[in-house]
Amino acid sequence: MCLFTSDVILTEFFLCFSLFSGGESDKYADYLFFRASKLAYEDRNISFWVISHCWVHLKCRFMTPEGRDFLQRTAKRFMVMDEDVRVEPRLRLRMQTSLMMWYTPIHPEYPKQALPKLLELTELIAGNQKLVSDQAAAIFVTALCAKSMGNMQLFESCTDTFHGLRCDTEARVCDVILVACYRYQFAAQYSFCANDSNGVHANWVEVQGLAAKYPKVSTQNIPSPFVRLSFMCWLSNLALDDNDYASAGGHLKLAMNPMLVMGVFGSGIFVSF
Amino acid sequence: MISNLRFIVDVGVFLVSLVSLVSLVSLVSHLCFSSLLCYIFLIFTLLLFSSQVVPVLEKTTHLTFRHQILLEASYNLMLTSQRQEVHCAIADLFDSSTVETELAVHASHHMRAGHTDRACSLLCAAAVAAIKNNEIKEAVNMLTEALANDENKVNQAYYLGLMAWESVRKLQNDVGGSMAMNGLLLLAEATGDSSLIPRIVTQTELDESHLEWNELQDMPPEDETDVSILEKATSLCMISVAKCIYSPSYGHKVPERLEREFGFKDIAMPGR
Repeated sequence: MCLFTSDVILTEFFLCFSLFSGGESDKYADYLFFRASKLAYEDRNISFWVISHCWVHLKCRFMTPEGRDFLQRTAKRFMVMDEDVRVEPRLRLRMQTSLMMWYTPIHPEYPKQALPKLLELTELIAGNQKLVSDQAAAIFVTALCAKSMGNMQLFESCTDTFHGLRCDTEARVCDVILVACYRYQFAAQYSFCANDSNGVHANWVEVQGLAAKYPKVSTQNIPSPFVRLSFMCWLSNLALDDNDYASAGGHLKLAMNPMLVMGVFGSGIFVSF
Repeated sequence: MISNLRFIVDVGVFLVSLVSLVSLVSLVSHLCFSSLLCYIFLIFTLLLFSSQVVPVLEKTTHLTFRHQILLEASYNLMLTSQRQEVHCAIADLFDSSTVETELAVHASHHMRAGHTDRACSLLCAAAVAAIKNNEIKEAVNMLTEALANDENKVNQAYYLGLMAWESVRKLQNDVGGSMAMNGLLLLAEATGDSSLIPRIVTQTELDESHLEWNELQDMPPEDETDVSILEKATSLCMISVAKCIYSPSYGHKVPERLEREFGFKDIAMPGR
């Protein structure tokens, strides 16, 4: 079981669904990013400068030589940012989480190298209820790395960390939903590893119930494409174990929905379940 | 039951005190005082004596009513013009005070005094401070209030940009993206700069902007610069729109709008 597969497979995957256009809208988004981050630089706005760089990795850049050069350049920039005292721990954590997502396809050793730093930064912001969604994302990425490296002790310890996460009572609903999604997804992943079919199903029911629980929030992104894709893969695997090919096929059909694929693989992460 | 009775008695005592005070102050002000601040001071002294106004625990310089009903009762006893004068006096006092005042409180007095421009700039400063402290709900409320009252289009775009940035950060692309697009259009309208309107960019434009970005240092220098609201608004709106294009699966509205209104043809919206 591995976390990040070779980008060659990804390229095939994207070509298969014609998801990589590199056309007018992509150029416009890049143009906006370059101009906006230059203005942030002139404004000396560190937070804006850092976070805008965390966003630009999306849209499968690692698939072209120019895109790879661009990502290498951005990654080097992140390394410098990480050492600057003006960058707060929460921003540094955001950078590390982001790097894990898109730098791994071009630098497969990165999770192993960066894991201690990720753990240290997560520890630094632990207890701050206002940053609980950042913390949840970081723990989730830590769990993925631990699992992919076969460090099951660390993977299991993430369960306790997730249990300890508490949202601020006045937190925004979207934050609460984000944290809940990470929590259920992690719990289901843990159940899947332990071959606990009921656990996966129970967590999927919880995730599906989130939209009804928070009706005022746009239900389009609940659960997020990443969460949906993960659950579809687990559920189809479990159905195959029970020789239920019809259900497995149904889940796979949903999982292969380009909408889901774009949401997850566009970020550069490929999770093999 | 007992606490309810006690409260009714308190309100009664308060109202009687207030009516007596208003009569007394009117009489005295006719005789010798015309200063509004003396009026406010006397009211608060009496309210303090009757324990209806209590100090805020965390900030000894602030007073608050013991109950919201008391606040509303005393507030509604005044005419709108009188209330405005009181707020104006308090806002002026805060402006000239050396003691640090809470920006949101300061802004609310200016807003109620009718100084909309000053109130909006204070609200915006308070919202930016709140965002830094990750108090997003408070920041959004303040920015919404500023947006509703400020008529300057560049300022409106800045408020929209700030809210859009916070929304897309939390993957609310439809909400944030619409705000950011509206912000860009407002900026284009206010400045007459048509390059701010979403459009198909040429390869040369893209290469030039990439080159400029590449030449920037890895971290912004530590010196202070004075960047205009226009530039801040532009950068916030631009990056929020870019994020919505980068991740269409978190919301289709921006890509759809680009296709419908601005002639983009290759929008990737799988599953549509």
